Amino acid sequence: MTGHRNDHHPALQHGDRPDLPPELAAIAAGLDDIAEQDRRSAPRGLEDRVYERSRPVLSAGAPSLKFPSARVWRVAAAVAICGTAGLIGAYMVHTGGAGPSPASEPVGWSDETVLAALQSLDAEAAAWMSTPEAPGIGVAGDLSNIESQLAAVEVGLIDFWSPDPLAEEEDAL
Amino acid sequence: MDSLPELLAATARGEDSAWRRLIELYGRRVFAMAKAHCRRDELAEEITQSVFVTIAEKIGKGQYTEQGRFEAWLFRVTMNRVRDEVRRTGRQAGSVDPSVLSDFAGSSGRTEDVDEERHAEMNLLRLALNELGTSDREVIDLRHHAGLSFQTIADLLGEPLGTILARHHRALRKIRQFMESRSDSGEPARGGKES
Repeated sequence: MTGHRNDHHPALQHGDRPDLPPELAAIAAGLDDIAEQDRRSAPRGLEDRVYERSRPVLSAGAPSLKFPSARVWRVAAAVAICGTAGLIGAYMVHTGGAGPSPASEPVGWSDETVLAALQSLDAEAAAWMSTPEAPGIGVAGDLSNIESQLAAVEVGLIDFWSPDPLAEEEDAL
Repeated sequence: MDSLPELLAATARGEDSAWRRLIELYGRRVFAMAKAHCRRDELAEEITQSVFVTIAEKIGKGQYTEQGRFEAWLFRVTMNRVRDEVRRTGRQAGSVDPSVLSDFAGSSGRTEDVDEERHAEMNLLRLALNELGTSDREVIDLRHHAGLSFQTIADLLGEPLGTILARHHRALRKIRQFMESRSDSGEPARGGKES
């Protein structure tokens, strides 16, 4: 009961035996011998231990707890850290260090006022971004770091969620 | 009751004897498949136990429906466990040197009446296996260590039967070439059996 079927393929002779030249048939026979050697090398009582360990799972029939892998935890932690850092960075860019900007003054909200405020904010942000080496500030550098970390996390997530045919098939019953 | 569908049905009903029989039928094949890669008995047994726990869990929860693909499923789970373990530990048989392989062969069932020539030949074959790429090694392991039919391997890997046969043939040729090159370079072991 090894599951060998009678494969109807031109290269298969005598059921599941491929039509091999003698020198390759000899190699195949040698591989069978090695496999048999490995099977015979199984520690005494292997089947008993496998049975004892798996039988409770079989008879329980209840869903077992599955814990996320270490990798899942690492990715989740990285996402949380980067998200927090991103929020802090955004807050700093929006409010930090440059004193009250025209946009923060109570003004009348005419189109010209709004436009001027936006231009001022834009200029401020550009100034911050262009001075990464400013002592004691380094916001642009931080943002750059956050950006690179997010890119790394994104790569990790893409890798993590990429379909693995074998893993998918394992559950596809 | 010894047909696979009957055993699986009985196992799903919770009959311990059927489950035990399945382990007897497949346990050593799973073990051999794992040991072909990790070369350590205790690790190969751990993988074997893990595989059967997974299978038991699925069957126990009624998540397996027998459609003639049990072996493909079982050895797919095995392949995944082996691959995970190799990734985790970085352990692959390819890094084993000939002397270790020789020691291993001597401690794993070699009987006293096996001559040295045959012994050397087996070691050389093991070395040749380690030289194969993943794709070739996969087919060789599934065919010889797991003992699967080519059709089951094709089902498992999702490839046409002809492709699997070609991959197997190509892998055998590579092994043969490796053994011949070692023989030409003065290695004591000879490749393959004389035909």
